[in-house]
Amino acid sequence: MVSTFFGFTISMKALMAAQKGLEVTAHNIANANTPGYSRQRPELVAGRPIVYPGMNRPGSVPLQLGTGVNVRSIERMRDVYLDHIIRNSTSDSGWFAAKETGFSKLEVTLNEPSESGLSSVITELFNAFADLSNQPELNSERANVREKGINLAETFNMIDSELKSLRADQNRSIIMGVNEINNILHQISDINVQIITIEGIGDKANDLKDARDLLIEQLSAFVNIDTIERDHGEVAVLISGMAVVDKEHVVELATETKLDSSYGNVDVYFENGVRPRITAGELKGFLEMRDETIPAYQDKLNRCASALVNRINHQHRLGYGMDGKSGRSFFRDYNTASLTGTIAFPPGTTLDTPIDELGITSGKFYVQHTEIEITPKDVKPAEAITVGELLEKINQAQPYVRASLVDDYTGIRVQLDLYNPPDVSETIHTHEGSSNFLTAITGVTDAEVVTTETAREYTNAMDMISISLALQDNLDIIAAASEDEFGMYSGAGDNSNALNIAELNDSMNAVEGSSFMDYYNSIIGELGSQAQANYRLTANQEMLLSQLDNQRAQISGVSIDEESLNMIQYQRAFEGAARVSSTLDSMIETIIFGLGSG
Amino acid sequence: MRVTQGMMVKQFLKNIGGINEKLLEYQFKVARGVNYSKPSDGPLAIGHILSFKAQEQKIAQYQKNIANGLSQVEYMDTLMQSMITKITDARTDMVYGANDSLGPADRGALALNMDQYLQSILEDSQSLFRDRYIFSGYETMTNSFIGSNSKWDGFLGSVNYIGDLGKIHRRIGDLNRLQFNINGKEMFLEQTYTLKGDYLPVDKPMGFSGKLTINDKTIIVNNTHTLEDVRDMINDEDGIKVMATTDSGYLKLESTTSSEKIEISDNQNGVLLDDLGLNLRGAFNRGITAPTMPVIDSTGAIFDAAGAVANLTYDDTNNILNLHLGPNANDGVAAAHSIVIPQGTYADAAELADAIQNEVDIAFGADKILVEDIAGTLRLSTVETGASIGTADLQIGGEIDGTLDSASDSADLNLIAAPDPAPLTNSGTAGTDGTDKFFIDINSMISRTGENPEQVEVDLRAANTGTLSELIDELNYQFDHEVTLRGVVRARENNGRVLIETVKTGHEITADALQLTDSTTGTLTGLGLLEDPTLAHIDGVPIAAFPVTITAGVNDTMEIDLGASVSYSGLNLDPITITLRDGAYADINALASEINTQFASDAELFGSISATVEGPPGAEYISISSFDDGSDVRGVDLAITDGTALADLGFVVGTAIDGGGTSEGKGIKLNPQNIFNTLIETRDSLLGIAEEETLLSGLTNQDGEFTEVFDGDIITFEEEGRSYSMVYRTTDTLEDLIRAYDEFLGTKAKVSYDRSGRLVIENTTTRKITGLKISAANPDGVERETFNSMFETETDVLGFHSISTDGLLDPTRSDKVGEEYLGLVDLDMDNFLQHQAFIGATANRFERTSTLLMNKDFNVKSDRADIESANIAEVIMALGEQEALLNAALNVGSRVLTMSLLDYLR
Repeated sequence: MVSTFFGFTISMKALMAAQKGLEVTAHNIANANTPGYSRQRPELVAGRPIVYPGMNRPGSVPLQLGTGVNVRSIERMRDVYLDHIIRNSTSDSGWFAAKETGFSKLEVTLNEPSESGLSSVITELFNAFADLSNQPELNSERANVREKGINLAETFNMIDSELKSLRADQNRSIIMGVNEINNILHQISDINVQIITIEGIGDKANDLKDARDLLIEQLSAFVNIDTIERDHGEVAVLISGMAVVDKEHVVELATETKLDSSYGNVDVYFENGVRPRITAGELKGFLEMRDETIPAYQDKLNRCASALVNRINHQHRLGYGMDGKSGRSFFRDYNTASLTGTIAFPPGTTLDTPIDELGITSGKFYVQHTEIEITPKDVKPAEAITVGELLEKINQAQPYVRASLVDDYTGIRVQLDLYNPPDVSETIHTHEGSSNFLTAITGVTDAEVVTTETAREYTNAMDMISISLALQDNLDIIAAASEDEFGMYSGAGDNSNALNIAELNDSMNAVEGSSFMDYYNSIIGELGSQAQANYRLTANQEMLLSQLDNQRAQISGVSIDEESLNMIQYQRAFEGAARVSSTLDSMIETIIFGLGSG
Repeated sequence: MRVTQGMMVKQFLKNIGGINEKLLEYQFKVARGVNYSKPSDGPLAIGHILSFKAQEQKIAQYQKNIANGLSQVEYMDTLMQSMITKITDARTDMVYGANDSLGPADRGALALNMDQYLQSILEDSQSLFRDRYIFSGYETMTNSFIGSNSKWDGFLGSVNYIGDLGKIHRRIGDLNRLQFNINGKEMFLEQTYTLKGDYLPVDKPMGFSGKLTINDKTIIVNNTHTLEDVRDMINDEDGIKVMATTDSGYLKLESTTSSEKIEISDNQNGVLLDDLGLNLRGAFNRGITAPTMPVIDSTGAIFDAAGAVANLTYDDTNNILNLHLGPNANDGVAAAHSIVIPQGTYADAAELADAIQNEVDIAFGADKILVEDIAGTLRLSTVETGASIGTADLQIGGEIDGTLDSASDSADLNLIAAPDPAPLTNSGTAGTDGTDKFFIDINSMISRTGENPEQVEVDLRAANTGTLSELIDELNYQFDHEVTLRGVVRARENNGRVLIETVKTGHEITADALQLTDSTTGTLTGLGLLEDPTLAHIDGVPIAAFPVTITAGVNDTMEIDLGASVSYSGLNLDPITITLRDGAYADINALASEINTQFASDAELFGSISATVEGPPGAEYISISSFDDGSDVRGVDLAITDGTALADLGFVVGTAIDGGGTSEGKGIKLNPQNIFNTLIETRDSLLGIAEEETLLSGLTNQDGEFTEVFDGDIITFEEEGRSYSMVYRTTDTLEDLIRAYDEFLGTKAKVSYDRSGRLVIENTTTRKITGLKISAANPDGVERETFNSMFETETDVLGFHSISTDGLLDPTRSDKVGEEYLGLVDLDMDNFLQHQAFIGATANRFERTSTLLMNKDFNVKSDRADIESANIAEVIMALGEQEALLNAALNVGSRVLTMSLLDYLR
């Protein structure tokens, strides 16, 4: 026989359980909109039954008496696997989203299709030359050509500075991202300590874990991470294998300015000097944008600018200005490297000296990887080409190196000058094939001359492009006229060089084997496809993420309806238990008062 | 599935967001009308759009170019039509003017008409289109034609084209240009000035040297240069305004601007030009500058002309040559250098001269001092020439410090410090006995009258012939005093010999234009001149019996040695052996033919000599003669020695007859001929304006009085102590007067008519004439005041530089319009019509291309629109669709989201 009042104990436990259940429900409802919050559920278990050990147990009937309900724990409803997938997706989403910003800025910078994009500006310059060809005498047409030239130069300059500042933006984002990551790492480690304390005494640190998981998810947007849950509920966070948070320990990320960078570009390291492999997250996006995407477009546009400068200057130098002079450039030339022959030609050598007299034999040689051939006919005695013609061959074969004969007190030598290369760090390369020309002028078969010091002041073609200084003050310099059959200026009405320059726009071999327009259009086309692909990836990733989010919400999300029902449920349970209590009470009253005094 | 409120909210937001995004896109499409706003909207489409756009921009530019060209072409067409009308009118007047029966008044009226047409056509030709001269080629900023003032007040004298031949193009498509301008030279048939040289081997060293000045540009010729080198040097010279060619085997200079004549001179008194065949006397009015330059000649031959004293070897002590170059000859700086002549063996004087030249060039720089071999003697001279240069500017010998000694160090070179005239040879014996006479026979090609005059006897006066220069003066004196010869034949010194040449030049003039025949035996020989024939040739004797049999190895070879003067290469080469083919030759023609065949097989002989059959029938003989017949050709220039064949051919070994003695003129000038000048000549012909050929005796003053000057009078120019006299002949012309005046001034005079129609003689060099007196006296020396009074001489008036007559006219010269002018006008007209056709065709081409471009533009634009332009209807439909969707989504959302269990729990 158990105690008379045992029923009270059971109903009390039921009251407490219902109350606990209602509290959890209240907590759930309260946090229905809290980010990262996981629905909690009281874990109710039936109390251990009492076995009657009494001697007067009738007929040895086996009886066990329930002892009511117990709240064993309050559980967090969470799917750890789903968390893992969501983190990875968040990393990818951060990666693409970071690039999306970059691409959209790139598209804005190049500003195509529009009336002010490079495509229009380039065509306008060539059309200005065509207008000049219509009225080569007019200063107004010359001024127009100059204005269009300046416009082209400034458009390139502007694009250049925007691309550079875009790169700087990426760099800044990287530094800020690293700071944010470190901030999050420290928060996680703090929470770890608290969790260990709480779980150490057997409690469940549900809300702390929610906060922690939210931080980890935020972290995963910045960088690719892995997590390992440890014994006491704390978590270790790993970035490319390095445990950046383990219990209370934190290994911070650090940024360090690249040695070879003139823009303050940074590399990302762990504070212990190890370099992480960043494969996803915003950080990856910014790095990729800064180090691969933007430089690729800078390089292409530099080539375009450089080819424009070279082609137009080359043709322009052949022509004659209104003042009857020739050999002047339209855009400013920038000489970035020079190679002077180390072996002097015999005294008296001029541009008109036949090359066979200098002992030059037939064969091939290479300048800037372009093949130049001296044919057997070129060195045939009495019919040999002249030094001037050979140098012109070099000049015609490739656009960047101009060969000339220099005569100083040390002797008469061949000099190769590198002008307007797409990249100022470009060097002069020469390589002897089967000819003996290079050996004859330099004494060696292969020579390479790196950029001169002055070239380092510059950065690249888009930045350097500008109208020649002389042209800024003197419109007569614009060379609309060609030379006549006597190598002379032919007169103000001669428009043939203006026509030649205008026709450069039709040249199918202006830059890297295509016309200016085709080359530029292909840049725009490539940007379009890359940006489009990235936008699509971002959208897809968001779709996936929202799908996963839904899945998680199915498990962890708070449903108000459900909680309302729970509330009713616990209310009823509470009412029931209370009724049991009062029933017991009346039963005991009956016993006490009914049986006693009568 | 467990669905929470949060999920529903998110889903709802996502749906709305998607629809909004679409709405935004459609809104943009409707607003901008285009499908794509940035590359990522459609990478492929953007590429197409950009390339279509670029094409449209190009097409727009081509249309602009065409419109620009077309408007000018249309304007040109109008102008040409107007000019053609005027030329037609002028021609009608000219046909009328060709009528014999017209009186002077009618002719005067017609002449005025001609001038009107002329002025009017000239105005048309000078038209501006958009501030540019359209008939000037590339020289669009300068007037196409300039007219010079006529001798007659208010009339144009001549009209010259001063534009160039520039072809102006318009760009009318990718790599497609259309020429649309016509330059005035083509349109008005203007010719350029041309100067042709003599036939010379173009690719062999010429062996002579000197400084050539063409239009103020200097060309240094040395004896290793070929004619082609000279051509290239001329063409390489910037700003020379002359194009040189050698295509036809002679040097041809063509002025590149038709208005400017070629000025050419050398620093050797014309010898170099002669060598090049560019004798300019008569060909060009300007340019012979008598160089004054210091010359140092060696006192005797170091090597004789044939190189007999060869292998002169220099030792260590006698190889130093000290040279001083004065500032006038060295850019204002005096220089002195000690030249070491390289030790060695020199085969001839030319080689030695080269060696010295080389050292001199190294020490003083190139083109400062010229070292030459003059027939075996050395000559040093400065390259710089000019009036300011004196003998002090080139000195030799002694110490470098400036102290001169005359001949010590340079003894081996026979050079002496004080320059002497070049040694004279062949000064002749003529003139000493008072009986020296010879005949000159000139033909119609060079005579002043254009007829073939009788031969003229020249009788040299006694004395005055001690030196070559005195002898030449005497010859010229005689020529000047002979009406037939004055201004026709000149004598001058040429390499120490007398050279008699025609003044008039031209390729049509051949050697027989000037023939000399001895009158008193020995006169010509004494002068170093030779009678005809003028070729180096060798005559054979008649051959007794034919056939002549030639047998290999027996009688088939002969050796021919050509001198430099006749050889094709211009070099004195080794003798050449020719071998006749075996066979029996039936007659003398067959033999001559075989000889010529063999000559033709050798490049040197072919073009140098030929065999001809000479002599009367029955006594024919073979004559071998040179083609070259220049003044320097001598008998030694053609020598034939027997291999084995000579006797069989009728030749006697060793016979040779000198040629030479006369020189044919060279060079030719083509006057600018154009419609303007045709009209001017027609006008002048109608008016009877006096020209330079007008006889002095035919001139009248304003009162109609004829000049009083008689045959044989001596006309004397005097100015400040200098004087010059000429014998007046009734046949003398204005030109003769000017020539005499030129001689007096030592420069070129300019004759013109001033506004009052007076004859004006100007000193164009000093631009000042002081104290000039021109007088005429009878042969007895009695001065005739009448002639002098014809001129108003003004003296010492600052800036005044001319003398002028009271006035003159030649009423007798007024003439009807000649057939030749009609022919010229027809030629011009034809040319005009051709060019008008060209202009018409060009306009058509422009218009056709424009139409094509318009079509293309339409296609490109519609292609682009297909891609780029938003289909508004479609977009609006889609927009409506999305609106409906949005409505539905909001409706559903609001219902679903507002419902909650809580509403039902009370």
